[in-house]
Amino acid sequence: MYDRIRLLVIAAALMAGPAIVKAQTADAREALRAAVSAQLRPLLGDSAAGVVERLKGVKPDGAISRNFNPATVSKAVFGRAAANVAPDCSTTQTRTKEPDPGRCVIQTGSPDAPAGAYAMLSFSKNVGIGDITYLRRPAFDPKGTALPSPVKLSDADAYADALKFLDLLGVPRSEIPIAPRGASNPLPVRSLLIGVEQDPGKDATRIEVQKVVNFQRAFVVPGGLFKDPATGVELTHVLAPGEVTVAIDDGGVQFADVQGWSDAQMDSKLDPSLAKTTPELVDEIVDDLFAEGVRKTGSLSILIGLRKAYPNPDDPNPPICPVCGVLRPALRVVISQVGPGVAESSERNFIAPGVVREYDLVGQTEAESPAR
Amino acid sequence: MKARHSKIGSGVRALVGLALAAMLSSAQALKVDMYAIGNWSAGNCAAGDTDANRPSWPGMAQSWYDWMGIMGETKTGKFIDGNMTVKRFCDPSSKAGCQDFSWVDWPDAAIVAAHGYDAGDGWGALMRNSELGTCSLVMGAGASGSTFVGDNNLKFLHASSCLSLNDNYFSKMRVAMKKPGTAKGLHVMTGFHGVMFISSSFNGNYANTALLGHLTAVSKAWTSQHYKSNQFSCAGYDPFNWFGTCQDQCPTAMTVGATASSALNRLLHERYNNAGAFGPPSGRSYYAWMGYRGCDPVSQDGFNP
Repeated sequence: MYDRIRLLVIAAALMAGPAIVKAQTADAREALRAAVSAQLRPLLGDSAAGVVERLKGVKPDGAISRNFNPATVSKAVFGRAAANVAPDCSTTQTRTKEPDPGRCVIQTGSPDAPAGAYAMLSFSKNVGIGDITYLRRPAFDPKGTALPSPVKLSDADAYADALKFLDLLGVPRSEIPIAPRGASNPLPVRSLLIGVEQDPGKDATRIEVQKVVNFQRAFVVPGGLFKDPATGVELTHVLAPGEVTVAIDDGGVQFADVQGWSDAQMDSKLDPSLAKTTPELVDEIVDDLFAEGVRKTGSLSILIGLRKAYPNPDDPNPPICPVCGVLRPALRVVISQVGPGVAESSERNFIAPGVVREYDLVGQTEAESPAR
Repeated sequence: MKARHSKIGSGVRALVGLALAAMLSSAQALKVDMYAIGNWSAGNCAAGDTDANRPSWPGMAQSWYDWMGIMGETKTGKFIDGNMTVKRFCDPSSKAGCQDFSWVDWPDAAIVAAHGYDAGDGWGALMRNSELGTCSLVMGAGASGSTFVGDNNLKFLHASSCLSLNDNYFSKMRVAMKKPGTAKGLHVMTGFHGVMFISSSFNGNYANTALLGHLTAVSKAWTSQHYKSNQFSCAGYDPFNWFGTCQDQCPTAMTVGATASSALNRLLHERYNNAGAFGPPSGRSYYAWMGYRGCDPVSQDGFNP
């Protein structure tokens, strides 16, 4: 009797299976749509046109290519040490007269030396591309027993030193956002912590060895970008492509990595009349996230930013710096399955990584898939 | 247009790599493998669960793998989806049928990309297919762990996986890095405290890990490239975390040693290209770790071992 009932239940479940899956999928999609829509409307209203119009007024005026002087930087970081300059550093064009996208590498010491000191400065030969890396590696004794020195530098001093070093590299100050008065987290500084232990909590040695400063690039938006209706906070900057990390200890900067801080200008062909409506954006985002496997929405963040794009190669009137690309208004969407707080996990309840995506706020004259 | 973007980006890095690789010795090239899952729904561990799929994930792991090749190492195995089971990751001492000596413990360096979970003070990673009665790789986690690596060849293991190296794992993870009774052991393990994020815009960080790991300590290369400060969960009005709404991606690294100084020295100085100067860890009485104090990831409290 029970077996028969069980069979009937299984049969019913199998028959209903596709319908249940379809309903669950529809529910998940609608929940995702509701979450995206709830965040997007306060940012954009009914359309991205207003935001795009305001972003058209952004004028990137710093230009790392104007400020970066390889000789000055090299002298500052290598001092009197005889640095080896790669032979191809003097060329900024390829043999076919295209802009060379490669890097110039200047170094002291051997990168391969097992325990020897080494330092490297590398930068885009066409520095408008915006990549600069500096690192310093001290000599060490593989059998040494001395503990590393703790960093004594304060967060504020590390921040100030990082800014000075970025001045040296030519990163425009105007593109580094400064926290307003009253900000609860004004300094983007953390400590790199190392530890060594024998038993958990017993004889533990913990040493802060570096201060690490991170900046995300941003431009001032004339007239402001957006005022949050709930908090009254007015956002005056827009996120832009480019970020930098500077690691400092009491001996100075040990590592600096400027990534993608290009001379790109706003896309002169940006047409606010092609700005997407909010429902169009919601559809685009939901479809794309669904295709990326996202179903649950534990945490969702949508930010207005600029993304780096490249001009159509067939465009008869490309931007001034083709290797730098152009800037286009976009949304940066960050979503994760788990929400705030500590999440319990198990094999059945595994934690999927969060996903970061970008979406243009303005439609292109040609079909283009979402920016990634 | 997207294709053109990618081409320029990869071209830039390739030229940097070639310039640097030319200066590096290739006399002792490492064997390098990658193991990545992007699709679970067609396997049997999360059958039909399209929520589990992350198609952009293998590309991040492959950026590291390809770059290890550009830097002069030998690419020996790219394994994506397929029959990814625990057999490739578990040690035969833990269960008959385990074959890590032919897979993850065969190369010198490997990256593993898979969904993660806290398996009880250790890393659990969801496989694509069930094998040997389980869907999980479990590393650390005391007696339940079946993954011991480094006893064969592996020296560097990168876990591209949520909760793969949480701040509560370190003491138990050391056992998995130095199997009892063996001469060799894992030199450096890296992972994440809390949730990690996927974006093809992060591929460059995986590539740079391979590049910088030849110039500075692998632990520093990993933690500097994958530390994403205040880029997640931000409120729309707070993109710079000035009002404290954002969260981080928190990379971590660890080593083991017979003494405190040997574990620390390795953590602070071992690169892909000077592993010979260190040799295998001669013990695991001590474990050393690295991370950002207070780094605040999704799903875990701030980093504070």
